[in-house]
Amino acid sequence: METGIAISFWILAAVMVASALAVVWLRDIFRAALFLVLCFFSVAGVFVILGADFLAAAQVLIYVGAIAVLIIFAIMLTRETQRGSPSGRFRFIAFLVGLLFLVTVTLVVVSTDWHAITEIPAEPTTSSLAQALFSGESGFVLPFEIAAVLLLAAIIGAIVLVRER
Amino acid sequence: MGVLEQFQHWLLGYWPSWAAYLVPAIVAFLVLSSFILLVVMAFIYIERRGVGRFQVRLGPNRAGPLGILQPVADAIKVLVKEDIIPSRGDRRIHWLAPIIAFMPALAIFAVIPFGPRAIFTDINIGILYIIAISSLGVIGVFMAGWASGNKYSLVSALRTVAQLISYEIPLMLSIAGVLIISGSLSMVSIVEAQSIPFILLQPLGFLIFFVAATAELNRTPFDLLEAESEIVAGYHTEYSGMKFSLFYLAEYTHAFAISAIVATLFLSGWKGPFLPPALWLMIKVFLVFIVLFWARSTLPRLRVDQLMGFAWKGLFPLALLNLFITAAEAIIWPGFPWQLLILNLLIAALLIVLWSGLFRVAGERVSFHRYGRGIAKGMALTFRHLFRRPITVQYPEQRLTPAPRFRGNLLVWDEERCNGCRACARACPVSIIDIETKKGDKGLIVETLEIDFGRCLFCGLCVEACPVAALFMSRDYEQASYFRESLVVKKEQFIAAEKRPSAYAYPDLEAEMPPQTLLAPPKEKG
Repeated sequence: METGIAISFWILAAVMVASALAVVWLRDIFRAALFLVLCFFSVAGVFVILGADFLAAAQVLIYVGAIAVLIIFAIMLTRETQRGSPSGRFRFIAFLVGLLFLVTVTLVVVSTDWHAITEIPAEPTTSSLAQALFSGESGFVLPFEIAAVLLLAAIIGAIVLVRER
Repeated sequence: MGVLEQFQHWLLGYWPSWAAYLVPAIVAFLVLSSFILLVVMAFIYIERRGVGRFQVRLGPNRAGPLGILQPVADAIKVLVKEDIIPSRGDRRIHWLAPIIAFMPALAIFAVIPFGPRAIFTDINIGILYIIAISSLGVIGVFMAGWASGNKYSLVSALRTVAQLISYEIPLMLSIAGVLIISGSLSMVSIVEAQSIPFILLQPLGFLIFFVAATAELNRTPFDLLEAESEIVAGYHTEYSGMKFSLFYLAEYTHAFAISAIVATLFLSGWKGPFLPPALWLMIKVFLVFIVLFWARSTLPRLRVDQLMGFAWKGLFPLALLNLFITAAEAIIWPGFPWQLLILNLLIAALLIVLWSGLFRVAGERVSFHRYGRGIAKGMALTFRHLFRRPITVQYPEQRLTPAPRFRGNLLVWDEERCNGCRACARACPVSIIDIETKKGDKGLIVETLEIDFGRCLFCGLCVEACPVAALFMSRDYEQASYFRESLVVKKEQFIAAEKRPSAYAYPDLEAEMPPQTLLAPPKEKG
């Protein structure tokens, strides 16, 4: 059990890091997007190993099924992608933003108190997740509802925008 | 606990842990994929024969008894074909795409319950897993469309993604109604919760799910991504051989998976009296699949803008309303008594009629008369075709009789009557009749007669010119040859040939002709 999980974790971790590097380094933007899909998928694999099946499914559904597909869609609608990603005028600014992001992330990673949880993950995750989200005082009913209404408004807005006159 | 876990636990007693995890997975994969292959072959056979019957044809019936070996023949044919990779395409992505397209369809079956305990793994997020996994298939189609380096394939890939993203939303929302009633995401608990099949409690949800699932499957009337008349074969235009067969397999595996999901979510899965559970599930799966291709052989394809409009303005609001109504019912009548099904049926009918009335198609308000009754009439018509005699002609065994004055592909020469006058040779506008005569006891004897049918116009002037009624057009309508020379027909062949004269230029022969069956004019009523 333990060795199996360890093996799969290291495989997933290696795939994740390698595909993340490929996203950055590949000149062919379509392949980069595909490696992004692979990266998201291996993150979902790590969630599965951690016993967070709901999170894994949500990861695949949202990141692979929606975001990555949207990125690929955008690539297909873009002109002259065959030449690879061109170096734009914003090189310097992009470098600055990237550096800023790196510094922030590093700071967060270093300052976080990483402690391993010893308790066994909850077995049927859905019910405990629902408890945590919707139960009484400590729940997140209001943010959940607000997010839902926001999404609904966005969808209805999109439909209104494209409706025939 | 699923079969897989039981096997795993049993193995753990004997083998090291890594093997106990790996071996059941591999065994499960092999068992499942061979079972799926069998079902897919059955699907392909049933669909090809079934669509044939819906269209008053016979369908493939030559390979094996009743054509039952047709899928095998198809598979062999496809496997020996040359594998072509377009030179402008992306070789590696082109290679990977069919695999990515096939994998999710297969992975769905890990959580489909074939019986109370016959499920590979009963994860508690079963239906969410299915939705997540099936959203992966689109990436395979995408990769195929992009890597083909072909604009039709790219257009098809774009259409696919637009369509799949749009129809995924009503699909998920319609499942939500089922989840509210069953109170679980696990496929096993969903089946166990169905004392009444959810199709009765959720008629609207079922309809939305079925339509959206048909769109997810890219089957007619939603098969825009391979609309043959517009974009060749869509994303798999540039695929052949093994890779094409993988796409084909993926399509039918997905159809199987969706049918199984419909059966599980709405038709109470494995439940049913007398028969074993797995058999009940398969019966339901085949029923759903038959309805799928029944719709396919009846309804015409949608236009792109209609397709998107239908998803966003038709299905999506209805699915939202359905979710809302189900949630309200869950609060008012938490036990979901059976009386609710009447109410839900009424609500569904009312909502569909009212909602569709808000739309216009081609400047005309959508009416029940045209789109409700119309579709029902169409479906009834194709259903009635099942009981009609197919119009297919089993050609080499079964031949049709042409029109009485048919000008066939050979001439019939009556050597008894011919007096060697050579009127036919003179009449021929292309001078292909070669006739030599010598003097005999009673007039002329034909020594050589050669007619080059490779150049014959079938104008019939030779027949008309014959003064002694020795030359006729023939009723035969098949002629093929590997050699140009063999189209030159000689005297001996004319004598040896079976004489089937047509009534061309000899109307009095018409009476004894068999009635015309090839392209026969419609019989007058009365």
